[in-house]
Amino acid sequence: MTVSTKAFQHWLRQAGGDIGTAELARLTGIKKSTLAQQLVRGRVAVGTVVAASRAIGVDPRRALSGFDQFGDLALVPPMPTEAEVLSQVADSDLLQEIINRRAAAEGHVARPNFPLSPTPHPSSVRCWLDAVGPADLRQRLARDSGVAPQNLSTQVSANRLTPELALQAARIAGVGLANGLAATGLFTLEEAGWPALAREAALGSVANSTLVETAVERLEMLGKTLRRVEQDIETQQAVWENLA
Amino acid sequence: MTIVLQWTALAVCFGALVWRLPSAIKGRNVSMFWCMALLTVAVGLSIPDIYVPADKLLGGVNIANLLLRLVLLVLLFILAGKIAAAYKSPVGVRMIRGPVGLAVVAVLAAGILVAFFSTPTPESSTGLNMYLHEPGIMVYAALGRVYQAYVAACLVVPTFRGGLRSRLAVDRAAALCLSVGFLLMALLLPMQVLRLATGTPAYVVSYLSILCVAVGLALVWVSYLRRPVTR
Repeated sequence: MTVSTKAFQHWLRQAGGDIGTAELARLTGIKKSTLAQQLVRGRVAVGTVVAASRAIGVDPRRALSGFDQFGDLALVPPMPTEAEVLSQVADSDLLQEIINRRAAAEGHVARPNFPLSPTPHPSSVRCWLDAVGPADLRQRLARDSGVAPQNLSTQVSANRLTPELALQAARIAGVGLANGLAATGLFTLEEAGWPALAREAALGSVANSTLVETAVERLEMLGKTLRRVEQDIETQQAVWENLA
Repeated sequence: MTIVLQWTALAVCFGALVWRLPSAIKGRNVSMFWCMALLTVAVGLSIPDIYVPADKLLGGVNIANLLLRLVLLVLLFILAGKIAAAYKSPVGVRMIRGPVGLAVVAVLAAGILVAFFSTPTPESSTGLNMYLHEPGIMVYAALGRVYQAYVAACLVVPTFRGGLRSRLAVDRAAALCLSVGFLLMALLLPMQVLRLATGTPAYVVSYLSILCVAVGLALVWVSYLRRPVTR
């Protein structure tokens, strides 16, 4: 999903004054040739808009909402649910919390706070879709956006989702519109409108049962992924052994 | 056009042969090296400029062509068995190396020998083109193609499935190249029988199929060379 060069330059002039391509490339860390190509072709990537808005100190959500197709991003988002917040906590952090609670329950130590892994975690997109969605979220998403279900599942497996799909998923699920963009890592959680330290708070207050069940789901998912990787390797080894 | 394709196929086969030499010396998958060597011989013997001098050495009565047919038979047997195993097709392995497959090879080899020696071919002729109207040679030529079509038909589906299953683009390309090559090979015989492709089109299909298979095998090797070092 992209915005037009004209709209982008119009927004940039209004938001940050006149910045040349070279200066913009330097500020955003995007390669100059990439940036120039996007501008020439008239299709500026959403990621570029986000990087530019950060560079000039504008809130990315507000910046994006200035473009026609993202207008509804300006709406005040509802608070994320506990499940949604937990979906953005890494597997290892969930397990660490379980271990910490166990140690605390045995009376030895106080439950320590620990720094959580950075977002997005390796299966953040899949976890987010599972946490927010009605059961048929993926089917509806594919149908509404005209993307082939297989294409969608490839993206999710690779922990990617185009901004278009992330937005549409949030619309279908009725959650904060920027949340999908946060799950893909385009926005930080704060930029999506989540309270500061939302993950820490949710992890600290979630019921033991929910915590353990969430961790079980994650481990099951991880097991499936690992099995698939192992099968891929096995398939490849058979080819190499016989033909290479 | 035909001659260009022929020499291209030979060059590709020979290139692959030389490329595999170092690892064959180290003892890695030596049978694959011999497959490439047999393939190079077979493609070479299909080219008039190579066939005629080679046949002169063997007495000038087209023994070179018989040799070409038997080389192809052995090559196809080894290679097809390996490919079926590589793409994990138990059915394919059984149809090629199992009792059914062995019976097919034996019957075809016997038929080829009988058909060849029952028809006199006193003058060197590439592809036995001079004798194609002789009934014995028609049978002889057909028998060779039957086995090619047979193993190719056994391998189209396994390689295609392998192409869909692979994770890396290079593996997918390799398997799909093989699959396309085998599909062309399998279709060539019925096309010739039904007179849908004769003469130059048949030659083009034949060499394209060999080219596809050779490229596919080369890509497998490329994928192997690019494998992660940590294994």
